[in-house]
Order: sequence, then structure tokens, then C-alpha cells
Amino acid sequence: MAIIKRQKSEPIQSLYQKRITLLALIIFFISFVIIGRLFVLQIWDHSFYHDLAERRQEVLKNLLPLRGSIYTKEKDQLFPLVTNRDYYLVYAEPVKIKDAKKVIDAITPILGLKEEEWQPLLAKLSKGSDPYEPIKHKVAKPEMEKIQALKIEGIGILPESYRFYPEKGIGGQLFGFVGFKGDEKIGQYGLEGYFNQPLTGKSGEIKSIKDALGSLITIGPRSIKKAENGVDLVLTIDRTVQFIACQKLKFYYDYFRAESGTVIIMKPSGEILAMCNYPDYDAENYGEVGNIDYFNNPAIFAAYEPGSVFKMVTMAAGLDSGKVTPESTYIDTGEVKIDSFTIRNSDLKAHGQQTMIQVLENSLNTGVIFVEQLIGKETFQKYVKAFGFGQPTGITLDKEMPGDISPLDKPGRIYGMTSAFGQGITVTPLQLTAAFGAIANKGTLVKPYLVSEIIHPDGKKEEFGPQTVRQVVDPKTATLLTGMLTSVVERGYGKKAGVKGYYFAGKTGTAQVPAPGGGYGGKTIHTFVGFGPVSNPQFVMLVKLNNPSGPRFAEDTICPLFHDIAAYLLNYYQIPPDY
Amino acid sequence: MLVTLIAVAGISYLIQINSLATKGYQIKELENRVAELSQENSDLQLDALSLQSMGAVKEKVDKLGLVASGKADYLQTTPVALAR
Repeated sequence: MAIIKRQKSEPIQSLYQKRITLLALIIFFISFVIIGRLFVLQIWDHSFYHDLAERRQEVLKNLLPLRGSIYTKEKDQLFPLVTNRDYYLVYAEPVKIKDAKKVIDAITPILGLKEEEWQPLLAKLSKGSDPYEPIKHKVAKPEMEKIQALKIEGIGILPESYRFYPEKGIGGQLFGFVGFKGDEKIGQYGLEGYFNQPLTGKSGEIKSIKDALGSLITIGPRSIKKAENGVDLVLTIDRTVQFIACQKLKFYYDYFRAESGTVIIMKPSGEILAMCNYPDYDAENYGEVGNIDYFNNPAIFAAYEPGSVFKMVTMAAGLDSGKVTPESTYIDTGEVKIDSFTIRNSDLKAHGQQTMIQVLENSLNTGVIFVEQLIGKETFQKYVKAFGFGQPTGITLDKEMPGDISPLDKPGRIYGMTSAFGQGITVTPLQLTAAFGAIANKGTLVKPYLVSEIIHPDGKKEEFGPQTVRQVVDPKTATLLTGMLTSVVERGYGKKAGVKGYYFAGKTGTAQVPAPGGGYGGKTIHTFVGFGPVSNPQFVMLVKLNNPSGPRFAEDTICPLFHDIAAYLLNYYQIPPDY
Repeated sequence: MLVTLIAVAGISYLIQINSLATKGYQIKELENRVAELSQENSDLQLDALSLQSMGAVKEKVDKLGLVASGKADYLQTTPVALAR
């Protein structure tokens, strides 16, 4: 029996064995496949799946720095002239929108979309395949909240930061603007252009794990490189003076229907109190500028032939080199002939014997030619350069031009003669202001400056003060010339610039504008530069109108503008009268 | 003994990590609130700046019919000598 039993159980045992072996093989095979697959997934394709998981779970965000603000200081308090303000972008995801018409009907009254805006938008929102469509940038908070309250599927909101200017219309050309270069915000022109990098700061980044809803998980690994905000600038500009200067300039610009105008007000120590031009542009809406030439700041960019206002430089050179004194005389025959040219006085008259004081009072071209001939072109050129002409002043504003005094390098005598009364060479309004500043400053030329402090994000302050460039003329020369220029305002063509009770020094200039085809056309540029009160100068001011209609000479157009602003400043700074 | 210790340590670790994760969300909520309030504060400050601007002041001056101050008189503060 036992044998029979053994005979029966053997094949069963063997069958079991085979099955177990087969099962083992299957398990082994499956395990092998799984291990193989795991090997492929975890080791072979590790980087691919790692990246895939990282993309799903990890979040890498760029931390954008806050652009620095631009301030002015008022009694030790900072008042922002340019800062940042958060607005919102309303966008659509047309793929999620079922009824585009209904969406348009809901958002149009809130966003104030015009027909020419919402009609193309309706077509775009009806395109079911479109994943993203911006609707309106720069949406204010109340409107954004109204849109948010509608809870429309497919309409999203994103915050975006823009430059904000609490003071409107006081110097777009001074500040410049922040535009776009691709996706990057970039400061252009003016202070924004010059200080673009420090104002921008440095961006940082955050790398972390996010949950299913996209929020960062506290306990996950995280690395943060903080963004470094941009620096803040504190300007020397006086907000009130800048506002008044811009207002008065606009009034005269309109009154004389001029092509453009400029006002610069500077302390003799070089601090710019106001710099205004008209026409200007609104930096907040720089895209709406009528003419892209308006982006340039004419006070530093528009080099022009200054005309008689330059006679100050010629007379300074004559006095300082000892060739003339205020009482020196010459005989004015009304004209000077050189080669084939005849140079006449602006009034076309011969005045006979004239002193150097009268040369400035009556703005005699023949008189300054007399001085230039006495000192020689080389010496004259040396003084022109010493006053800072032909090179940028170095003010911290984007796009400053050096002007052109190269005609003085040419061999002909005519070039020195015409330059003596400000024709044939070009200068910028800021260079002229600085040159007159040197006379107000006892002969010392200082660098005009606009930024008095740079405040770093860590609170560290860099302060900037007056910078002497060079001693251009002797203090005695400056005093004598101040007296002669005071006489211009008291008795000469600058009479209308004066303010009763105060002594001012200054010089007018009515320059002819070169015609495109050569020679001079009918257009003129009227300038007056002055400083005062002469006993202790508090400010130097340049006023300029390009091609005003009506009066022919600067004394009738620009001198009243100088008077108006000067009278305001004397009152504003509470400067007691001289007499 | 060792198993109990490990279990206790494990459970307390779990509780701690859980509470930390929850705190993370609370922090996030509070951070959002702070950002919201800062934003509101900044908006109000900017509105205040606009109201203080020279343009806005000028507009109010014109509306109220205020006039510019006239001629100012300056007093001479010459040193005074007294004799007894």
C-alpha cells in the first residue's frame, strides 16, 4: 500500500514542484520587470523624472526689486516726486469663456472700454482655443475690485507696478520715464536714464516646494536670495520753485506763441532749484507724447548759438587779462569789416565813443569785437573753455550735449569775432547758467548738481555738495563784471528784468537761428541770464524762448518772464531789499 | 521599552510636523493680510500726496478765491546801544 501510495504521490509532488517553480519564475520575471522598470524610471531616466517632479512640486519665483523713488527735501522731510504705485492687469483666458458677449457686457462699463476697444476684444474672447488675452493694463483698485466681485470664469487679475508722479506737469524731461525693453523695465532719459541701474536694484529668487493649491510648504526645502531694492534719490529741486517756474514759462510761451522755452534756476553753489522746459511731456503717459524730440531735455541737450548773452564771457576775458577796464573806450562806427563780411550792431547804429560798460548796456557787437581783437583769439578761446563751454557740465542727467566751440579752432579772424557776440558757436542753456554762476560766485566755476543724496536700501546715505571746477577769473574781475552787468539791468536792455528795490546783474541775448541752407533765417532765440541780489547772490536764472512771435528783442519777451520769477523768488526766500 | 520609545518619538514627530505645516498656512494667511494692509496704506499715502501736490493746492486756492500776499516789509534789526 505504501508503495502504491508513494507511486501516486510522486507525480503530484512533481506537479506541485513544477507549479511552484513556474510561480517562482513568474514572480521572478514580474519582479525583474518591476525592478527593471524601476531601474529605468529611477536611475536610467532619473534626471528626466526628477525635472518633471520638480516642475510639478517645486516653485522658482523671481523676486523683483522695488524701483527706487525720487524725492525732494522740504524742511528735512522727504516729498516724493516720482514713486511706484500698484495697478492691475485684467486678462482673459478665452478657452474658459463660454459666452464672450456676456463677459464683454459685464466688464465694459467697469473698465470704461470704448467701442473700438471692446469690439476687437469680443472677437478675441470668442476664439475658444486662445489661452491668454490681456484686456486692460493699469486698472485702478476700485475697478479691479468690481471685476473681482463679478467672479467671471476665464477673467483673471494680476498686480503690476507703475511709476507714479504726485506732481503733474512739472518736468517730465527732468525725470525721464520707465519704459519697456522686451519684458524688462528700463529707465530712459533724465534721471531715470542716468540712474537706471541703481534705481532698478537687483532681483532675487525663491526656490521651494508647493502644495496642490500652489502655496509654498513651510516644512519643505527652501532657498531664498532676497531682492535688493533700488536706491532712492533726493533732489536739490525746490518743488514750489519748480512749479512756479513751469507755470510762468508756460504763460509766456503761450502769450508769445513761442516754439519752445526753458527756465533754469540754480544757487550760485551749483544746486539746481528748478529746471523746466515747454513743451514737455507727461512721464506717466510717455507713450502719448506728440513728438519724440520732446523726450530730450533742451536745458542740457539743445545746444544753440546764444547771441549777445555770450558777451559776458568776452568781457570777462578782456577784464581778467587786463586788456580793458569798465571805463576803457573805443569808437563805435556801427560796423566792423573783415574780409568780405561786414558785422553791424543789432540796432544798425554807430554810437561813437563808448565805454565797456556801455558796450554791455547797449549790447554792441562792435564793442565785444574790439575786446576780442585786443586779447587775441587764443586767449579768448582759453577763457571760453575755462568757463566750461565745449564740454558737458557733468550733471547727472541722461543725454547732455557738450555744445560746439570748434569754430574757434579755425584759422580765420572772423570766427573769433562772431564768437565774441555768441554767433557761430553753440552752447547749452545749462552751460550758460553755470558760466554766469561763476561770476556770481566770485569767479569760481562750480558743477551744477541735481542730486543731493542717494539713500541705499540699507539706509546708508551718500551725500553730495558743491564741487568747484576751477577759478575762471579773478574775484576782482568777477566784482567788476557784476557791476557792469548790474548796469545792464539798471540802464541797459535788461531793464525789464529788474525787480524794484533789488540790484540784479544780467545780460540779454537775441540770437539769430541758422537757416537750413546756410546763413541766418528770420527765426530768433531770446535769452536772459541773470543773478541777484548782487550784494549776496541767492540764485542764478536763465530764461529762454525759442522764436517768440511779436517783439523782436529779448528785452520785451524774456526779461518780463525773468522779472516775474525773480520777484516771486525774492518773496518766497524772504530776501530783504537792497534799497 | 525601545519600541514604545520609538513609537512615542514617532508620534510626537508627526504631531510636530503636522502642526508646523498648519502654522505655515496660518503664516501665509497673515502674510497675505499684511500685504493687503500695506497695499491699502500705500494707496492712501499716494492719494494724500496727490492732494498735497502744488497743482491740487493751486486748484483749491483758485476755488477759494485766495489772493497772493502783497509787498512784504522787512524790519531792520540793527544792534541797539543802551547807555546809562
